[in-house]
Amino acid sequence: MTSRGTGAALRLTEICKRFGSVAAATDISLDVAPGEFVSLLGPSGSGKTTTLNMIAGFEEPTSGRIAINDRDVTGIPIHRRNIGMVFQGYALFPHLTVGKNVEYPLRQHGYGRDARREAVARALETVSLSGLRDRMPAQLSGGQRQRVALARAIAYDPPLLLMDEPLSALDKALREGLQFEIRRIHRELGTTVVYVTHDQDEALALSDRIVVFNDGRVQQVGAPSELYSRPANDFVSRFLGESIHLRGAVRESGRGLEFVLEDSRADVSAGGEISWPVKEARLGAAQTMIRPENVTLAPLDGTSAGEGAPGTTGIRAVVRDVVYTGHSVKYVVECPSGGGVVRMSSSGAPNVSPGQEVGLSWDIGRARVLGERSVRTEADGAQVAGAVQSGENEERR
Amino acid sequence: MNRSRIVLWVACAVIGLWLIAPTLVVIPLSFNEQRSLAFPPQGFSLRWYENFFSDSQWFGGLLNSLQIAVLVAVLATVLGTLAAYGLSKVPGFREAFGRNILVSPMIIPSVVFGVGLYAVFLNLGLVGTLPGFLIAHTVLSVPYVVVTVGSTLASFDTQLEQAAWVCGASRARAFVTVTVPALLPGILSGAFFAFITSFDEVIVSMFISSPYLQTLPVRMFAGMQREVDPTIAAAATLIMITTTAAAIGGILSQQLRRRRR
Repeated sequence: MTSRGTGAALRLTEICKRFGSVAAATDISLDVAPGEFVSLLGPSGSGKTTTLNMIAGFEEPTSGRIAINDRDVTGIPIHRRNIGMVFQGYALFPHLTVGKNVEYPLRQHGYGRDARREAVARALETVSLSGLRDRMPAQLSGGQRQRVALARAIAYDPPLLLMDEPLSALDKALREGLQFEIRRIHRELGTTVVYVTHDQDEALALSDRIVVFNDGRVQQVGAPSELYSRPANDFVSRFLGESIHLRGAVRESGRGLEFVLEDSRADVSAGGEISWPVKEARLGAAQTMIRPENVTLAPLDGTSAGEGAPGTTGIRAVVRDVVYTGHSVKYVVECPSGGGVVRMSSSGAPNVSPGQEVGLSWDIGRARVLGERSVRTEADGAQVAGAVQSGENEERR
Repeated sequence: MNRSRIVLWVACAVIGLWLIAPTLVVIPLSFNEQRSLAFPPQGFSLRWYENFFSDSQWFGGLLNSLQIAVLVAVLATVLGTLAAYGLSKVPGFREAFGRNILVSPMIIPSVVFGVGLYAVFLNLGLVGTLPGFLIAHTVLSVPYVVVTVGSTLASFDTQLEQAAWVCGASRARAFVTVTVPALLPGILSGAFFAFITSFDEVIVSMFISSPYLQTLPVRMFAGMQREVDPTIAAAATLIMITTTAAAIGGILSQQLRRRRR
């Protein structure tokens, strides 16, 4: 892949934004490497858009600093920040043709006529819209409009490209197609991208790193696989993907710290406590989180789950719902200490029905212990939680 | 269903006729052969139009009116557009207060406004002058521009401006290259209404005109006092044609806006 421009480094240092008495963003610090694709992910009102608006210059931070390529841009007007941006609502100039829209930033940056023509042709080619140069935006479909917006944003090779939920106005099929395009364009251009989304799948699919926002604060920063398998807290674990959450406590034992399930009579293999050693967890109430693909669900027919393989454990749970989703079957399960979602591949999915009691088993190395402080709502884990930082557990070995 | 439809149509036709009949009566009167404003007219003649265009008072009045109305349209459109844009950036009470002040000339009785203006203009030596007319008519026309541009701004996507800034345009450049073109339908229709407001304004104009500078409607009023002949009907017809053309222009501008969606 040849890259045309070079991406900019972006550094946010302890940025805060207050609107009156409301804190929209608190202590946001972030380092983005040149050429990196970073997503700001969170529910609405979590501060991700406010943060993007401060990078763009639409909002000035109440305190803190923003630097692009080590140049402090706090207080520098938007038009001198050298950024490209794609908006959720496209924001194409309705009185200009597709070609003139893409040409607009080139004019503002003082490109000559020939350079402009060449750059417009190249940008439209990049988004595969060369044939639509003379159309008006009103004559285009939603997907085409967003491609034009993308072409306009990349036309003058900005070192930093901001995207504010660019795909959320499009339907699912179009969204996936454009995701692919955005990945390709990012690879080809080598531009640094900051991408705001509330869609976890989009963030997982596109990003080098994800910044998870909630309540105006950064909850965790990391690569998609890291956030998914080692979420820092309850909020991150629930926001990124499905999971089972079980309540329990961290206590000291002879060998060190261990996590004990709250309701240990749930043990499938008759009685006794269920516990496993953990590292660096805080003592006291906690919960454990296991991703659906790491749990095995089996009907209780004599041979109980949790037996056999060393390093695994298991509990009894009741199936509340079974949803067939094509490649997998989703089971919503509930047990005295918690519940959540288990997925089994369609080919090996046991045939159980709602209300039936089943055994769940998992590799203890795949269970993550989180600090407990969440408001419990439903068994499927669809809840918003005020999460706290958690400790590390055993799985890093 | 059909019967109620017919009733509705008849009712609409009657009301429509009632509204425009007095206006339409003027047109045949202006072609009267007799020196009389009696309806129905008798015969057909263009002599009153000849009279209109050869009389320096009549024709001069028309030229004055056109000149003032065009200049007022330009002034009121620029000022009204800037005012409406500024109001859209100001929150809450200040916006409502500012808008009401700007729109108040629509509500204040023209006679009151005319008396006040006359008193001030006498001191400043503006009575019977072009600047005097421009100031007075611009004040009366700005509200129309504020209203039409304001309603276009209500549906204006402010993200377009943000997009222009990000593309490297300064605030002023973005306003000229993106905001104004997007608001153009409202601006144009505001300009047409400003033109009409100035072109057929009588009451305030009577206070501030002098024998040296009269607009056409003022000349007509003066004419009614002395000689009554169908020249006045010819003048009325010309005013009607001009204002109707401007009104159609205003309506077409609004259509332009709808088509862009």
